[in-house]
Amino acid sequence: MAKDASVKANAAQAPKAFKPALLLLLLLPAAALMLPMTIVLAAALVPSLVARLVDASPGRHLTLTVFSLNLVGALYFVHELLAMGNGFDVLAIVLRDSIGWLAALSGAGCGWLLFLATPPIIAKMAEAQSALRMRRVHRDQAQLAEEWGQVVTQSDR
Amino acid sequence: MADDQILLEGRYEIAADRRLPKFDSPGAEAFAVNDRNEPGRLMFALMAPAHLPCRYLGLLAKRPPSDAPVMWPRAGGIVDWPMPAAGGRTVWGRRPAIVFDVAKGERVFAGEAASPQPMTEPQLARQVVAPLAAAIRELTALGIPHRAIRPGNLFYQSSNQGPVMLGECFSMPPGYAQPALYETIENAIADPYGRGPGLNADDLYALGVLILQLHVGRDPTEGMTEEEIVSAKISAGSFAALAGREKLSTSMVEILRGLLNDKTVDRWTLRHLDAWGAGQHFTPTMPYLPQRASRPIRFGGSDHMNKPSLAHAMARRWPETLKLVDSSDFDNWLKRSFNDDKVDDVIARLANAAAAAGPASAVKDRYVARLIIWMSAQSPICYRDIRVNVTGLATMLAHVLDDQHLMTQVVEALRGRLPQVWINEQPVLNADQLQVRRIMEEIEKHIEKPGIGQGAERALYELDPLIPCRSPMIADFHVINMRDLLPAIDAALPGLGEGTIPVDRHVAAFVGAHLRRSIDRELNAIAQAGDEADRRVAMLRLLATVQQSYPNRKLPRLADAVVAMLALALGRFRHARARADAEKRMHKLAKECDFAGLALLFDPNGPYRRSDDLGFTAAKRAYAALRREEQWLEKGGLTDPERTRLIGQRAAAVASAFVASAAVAAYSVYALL
Repeated sequence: MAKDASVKANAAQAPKAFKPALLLLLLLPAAALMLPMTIVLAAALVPSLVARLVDASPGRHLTLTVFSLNLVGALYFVHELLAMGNGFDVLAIVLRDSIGWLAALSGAGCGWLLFLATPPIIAKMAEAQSALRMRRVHRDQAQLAEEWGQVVTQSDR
Repeated sequence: MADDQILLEGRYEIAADRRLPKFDSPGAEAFAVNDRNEPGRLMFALMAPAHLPCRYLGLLAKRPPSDAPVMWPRAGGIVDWPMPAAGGRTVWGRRPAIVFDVAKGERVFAGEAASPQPMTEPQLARQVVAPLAAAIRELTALGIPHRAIRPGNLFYQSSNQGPVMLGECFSMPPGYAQPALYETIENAIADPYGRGPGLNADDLYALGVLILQLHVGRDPTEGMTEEEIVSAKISAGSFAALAGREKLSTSMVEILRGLLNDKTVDRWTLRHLDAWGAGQHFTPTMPYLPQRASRPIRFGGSDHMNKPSLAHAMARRWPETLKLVDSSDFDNWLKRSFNDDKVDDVIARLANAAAAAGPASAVKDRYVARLIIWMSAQSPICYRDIRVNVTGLATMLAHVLDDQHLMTQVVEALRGRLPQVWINEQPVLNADQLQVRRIMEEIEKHIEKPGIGQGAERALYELDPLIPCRSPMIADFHVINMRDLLPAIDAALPGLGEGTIPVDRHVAAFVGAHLRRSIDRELNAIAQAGDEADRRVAMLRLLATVQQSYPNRKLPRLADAVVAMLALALGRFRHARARADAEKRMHKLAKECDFAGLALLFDPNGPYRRSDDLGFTAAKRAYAALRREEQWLEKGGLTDPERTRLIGQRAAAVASAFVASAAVAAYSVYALL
């Protein structure tokens, strides 16, 4: 009994894996109902698909970054489509709007740039944090040595 | 000692610069005394040796005899006294002093030899027997054997004729100055320092010898060595050996035979003396003689016909004795001359017992000592150069303390349990011997231990509470009471070197023997201390124990010495502030001479040190953690490129997702509105 309870507890604690395929499956009926919108978004989010193809990292951070800002850019197409009636008849007009493509691709580009620029910035910040932490460690060590004598610095082994 | 005046009981001024040699006692010098209450009264003081127990100091509580013809001290105690020091200087120490009135009569004999004029029997009865019997009676009532009855210690009660009186007997150990002639066989064999207090019966024996010497007008053993006198007494009995060749009246034979009986229980008592004085006659008791061998054995230049005689000769010739006991002649003599079939068993038992107790290097010496005890149970304990009665062990040990050679021998005898063996061989034990048996049981617990406060020093102070503390620090102060111990150390410290530790083996042993409660815990702490600092703290605890039992807060120099002693222990406080606090507290407690407080402050298991130790352990752990963190940072724990890249990418993803969520949400709201 105790073993069963332990297994259950572990199962409850384990993080549930994100399943994109399942999400797509769930969104499929909605996509079918709003087919013009689906077609526009599919066209506008092509850069995200490219990003997904080149992204081999475990967290798929590139995909997420590019997709997020690509989606923001794609909102222009979405707005135009909704504004023109959300029908198959306006689909060509909307997709021929170069501003829309500019918005969608700029969003994707910004995402890509953000993905490339953040790690060096974080590295610089980590260096600064490391230096600060090292200074605190040395200060605490000096204080201990001052209070307890050099013998406190000697290892027991 | 502001005015260098030596004062006893606030009344008797002793003049250290006015010697009175004619009142000297053997071993004790006499000095002039002025009685402040009765100026002009003729008095003198005997200064007892500082290294031995002063007999009178143990008798201060006894009331003086009413009017007995014996020189009884008028006062006694320990006084300040100038002592010679290194470099010809004189320093003030303390010595036992005994003040006497100058006898009204003159000394009967100027030297130790008797007057050439023989005394008649009536003269003896009136002038010697009657007064000395009265003196012995008084002393017996007080439970004090005189043990110094000899011609040289006799005074006329007035002027230079008439009845005599006994001189003093309190300045030196009992029987110290007695010639072998005046001592019973067992006491005569013993070293003068190791004779023990003895019995009043020993006084009666000495009285018998005195009567004989005064009656014949000469020393009956003239020309004989001490060994020959003792041998003659053993072989023929004291009466025959001393008076056998003299022409004596029946009455004189009667009294001398009674008083010179070698068997204590058969010896005449005061009742017999009184009856003899009244003219009553007694059936003469047969002398006690040891079993005679069928053939003699030659040893030490003479033939011996009995075991005690040979044992006595063996005791005086140790190297030859070691060869003798290995010879077949000795074995054969023991086996065949006494018709004793069990000798082999006895010898085997003695050899086994000798091997079982004591240091391994002296098995044969112990075997010989046990053999001598078996051959002559009445003899003192004889071991190499030592011949001592069990009741005289204390004074003997005190005497040989500075002689490493003899000291080793006494300690070997104690470690070999020879006193216990001797006691077990006795058919009857007197009160003093029974007390020694109890003391030996206590000594047995300590004699083999090498630590401070144990061993020979502990044995010394356990044996006799009157033995002064012989610590080199305070040996000049004649400390016999615990109450005086700490003040004496305090007074001695200025004359000692810087950094003197105020506790040594003697001080610890003295405390161990004198303190009412056991100090084994304190002594074990000293012995088991891991380092010098802890050892000094343990010593401080011993001082604190003494101070708690005998409160005294006026010990500034001792407190300073303790502070100096604790410098090492102060370093055991690891935390700088705790150390500074401890130092401050130490000086405060030292100023108050509070050794218990100091001991608590420095106690390794006390709250202060314990807290410091716990803090130190935590600090070490914290330092180790900091070092690990330092190493982690040095190895790029925070700046690892892989890590920063991952964090950066994740940050970009999160930020963009956040922006997208916000944008979608905002547009949804806009679209709905």
